[in-house]
This record gives sequence, structure tokens and C-alpha cells, in this order.
Amino acid sequence: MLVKRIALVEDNDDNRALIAALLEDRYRLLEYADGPSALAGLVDEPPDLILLDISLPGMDGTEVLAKLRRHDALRQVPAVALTAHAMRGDRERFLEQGFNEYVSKPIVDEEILLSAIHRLLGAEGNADDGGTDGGTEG
Amino acid sequence: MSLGPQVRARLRRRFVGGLLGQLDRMRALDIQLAEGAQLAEGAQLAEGAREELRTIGHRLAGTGSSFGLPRLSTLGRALEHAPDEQMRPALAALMDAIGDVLRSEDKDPPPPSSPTSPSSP
Repeated sequence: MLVKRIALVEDNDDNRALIAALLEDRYRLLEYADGPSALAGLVDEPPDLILLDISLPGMDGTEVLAKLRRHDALRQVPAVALTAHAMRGDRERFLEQGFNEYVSKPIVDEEILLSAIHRLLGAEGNADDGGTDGGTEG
Repeated sequence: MSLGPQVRARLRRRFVGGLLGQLDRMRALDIQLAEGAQLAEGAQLAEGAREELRTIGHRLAGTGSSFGLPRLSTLGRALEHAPDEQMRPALAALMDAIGDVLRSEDKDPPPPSSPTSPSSP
């Protein structure tokens, strides 16, 4: 089975490391620390799903998504908003802005993020269950 | 599919390792806030410091709990949303909490792990 590609656009190194540790065994991760580099990279290499931080420096996540959506290859790629704002009504606001799902930070229950990814990638994108300890250490 | 204890401990060490540098920066910004209250030209200095501190608070709000440090998330969020006149007390509380974490980790560091360590169930 072709390994699904997930783009992670997140400026916080610690959060990027956390999400990478969660996903790197099952998916091919395309990591970006800011919007412009994500825009440049993803147009050439469209992912199957985008995890997009909202509070990016310079160009925030909603602006990045709007620009990504202008490209045919990226118009339909599901996108998950990652945000530490966690205000009432956030989910609805981000869905209105073109995101397909919303996950709040800090990521305490990783299953919430994983469930969103599995749901958006569909059954073929599901990773089987199992710990990521040992083999991913180091 | 979830993170096991070894991976979690490695990520926590990484996060805590970055806190000292953030604490130093917060101290410098605190001085700017104090000076901003005293100097005629300090208002702009203080505004810049507040903006950077809100960003720091936001980042800690979005990370602390992920690494088993929910107090940093709570105090980070308080700093991010503090009114201008409450920013220094909010900052002091966050710096104290970071100091506690650093002292605690220094005194009682998590057990080391390595790629050759046996996996935990």
C-alpha cells in the first residue's frame, strides 16, 4: 500500500517533534515551520492531508490555507487546523474558512488528533494500533 | 497508536531543555517592562516586550500540557491574555513555575533511555 503523505506546518519545534513521533512510523511526513515554505513545497509535492497551525509567524494558518486552495492539486486536500486559541466557536469558524477538522493544542489526548487524521484519510489511511515505543526511540 | 513512555520521556526532556533559554528571555523582557514604566521613551519598549511575552505565553499554553506540564499551559494562557497592567504578575508566576520545573528536573531527572533500551510494554 502506498504510504500516505501528511504535511505538518507548525512553527513550534516541540509540537512538531511530538506530532512527528506520533505519525512518522505510519505516514510520510512533510514538515514545514512556516507558511511560505509550506506553500513552496506543497505545490510541488501535494500531500494527502495537511495539519496546519493557525498561529504561524508572518502568514497565519488561515491565510496559508486560502493560498493553498488556489492550486488545483491542493484544492481538495483535507486540512486540519491546529490551534492553541481554543475559544468557543473556533471549530465552526475554522470549518467555515475551509478547514475540514479542528484539533486544539496542547495535544494531551493524541487519539483526538489520530482520529481526525483517520477519519479524513478514510479507511485506507488508517494506521493499525500499536505503540511507537522502542523502535522510534532516538 | 500512541506514544510509549520512552518516546514521551525523550520529548519531555527536549521540551524542558528549551525552557532555560525561554526563562532568560522572559527575565530580559521583564526588565524592559519595568524600564518602560519609568522611562519617557519606554512606552514603545514596553509594548514590544508585551507583544513578545504574549507570543511566549501562547506557545507555552499550546505545549506545556503535551509534555506533562499543565501548569505551564495554564500560566502561559494567563500571560497571553493578561491585561497590560497585570502582565508582570502573570509573568512572575510563569517564571516561578518554569523555575520549579527546572529545579525539579535537575534534582530528579527522568531515567535515561537509549535506542538500545528494552521497550516498555
